[in-house]
Amino acid sequence: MPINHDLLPNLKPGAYRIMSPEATQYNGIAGAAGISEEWWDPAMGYPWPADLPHDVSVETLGKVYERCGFVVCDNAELEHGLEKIAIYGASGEWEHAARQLSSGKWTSKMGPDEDIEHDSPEDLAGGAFGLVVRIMKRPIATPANGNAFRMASALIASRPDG
Amino acid sequence: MPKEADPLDRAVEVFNQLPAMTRRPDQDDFDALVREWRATRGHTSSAAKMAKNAAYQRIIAMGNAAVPLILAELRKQPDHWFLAINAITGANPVPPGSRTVNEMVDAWLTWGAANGYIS
Repeated sequence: MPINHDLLPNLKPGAYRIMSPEATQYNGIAGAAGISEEWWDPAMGYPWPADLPHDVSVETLGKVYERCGFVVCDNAELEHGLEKIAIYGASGEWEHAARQLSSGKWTSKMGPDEDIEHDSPEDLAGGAFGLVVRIMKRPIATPANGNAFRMASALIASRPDG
Repeated sequence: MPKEADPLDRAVEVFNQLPAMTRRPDQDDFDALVREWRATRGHTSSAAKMAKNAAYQRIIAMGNAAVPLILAELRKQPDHWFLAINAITGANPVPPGSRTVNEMVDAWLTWGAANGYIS
């Protein structure tokens, strides 16, 4: 579905770029971790860490990302050698997550819809996604650590009964 | 002398008294709800929040008779119908270790065929 600007009042038409067409195969939560083949979700049957609560709390999602190599940081500025993500939410529950690109712009998989590139985390704040409630960072994947991150990202999302 | 009830009116009356689960939903009504769900679910990354959508809930309310339509839709265009079928049937055929939406779709279609919902 086209981007619904009523839901995201800070995202101005023309201020973002569609990077890939809508896809129900992955969501913004997996996409922020660099995974584009899985829909990470605590709901029944979806990939989610077996030993973490199956809830939509920001706290739990933070722990998921910690297993992907992210740690909490205090700003969303572009820093050499670091990849940052922003968790959006309201009332302690997550609504979305976005990832910083090496260009300094941000990428967001919009649920089952398109993947977009936008200028800052704030572009998606203030509407249906709530506010930016946490910024996290990890070293940018290199030939030396890239596969390790990817494997960690894949392994965190084991089924609860898997 | 009282007028005899029209058999057609009587049939409609009986039909309307049937529980929703025993009726076969109209394909056009179902398709309209599917379109409404996709248009109004927003950009959420949460399957549970998608399932709270009013159109999705109306499909769940169609009951067991909607399952073949949902599975056919799932086969045509993979999407997040898993919570709906689970809510209606209580089933959870996705095997442990499944990771992708396509694997989940395959599990539900296999289950649907095994249980006579689809061929």
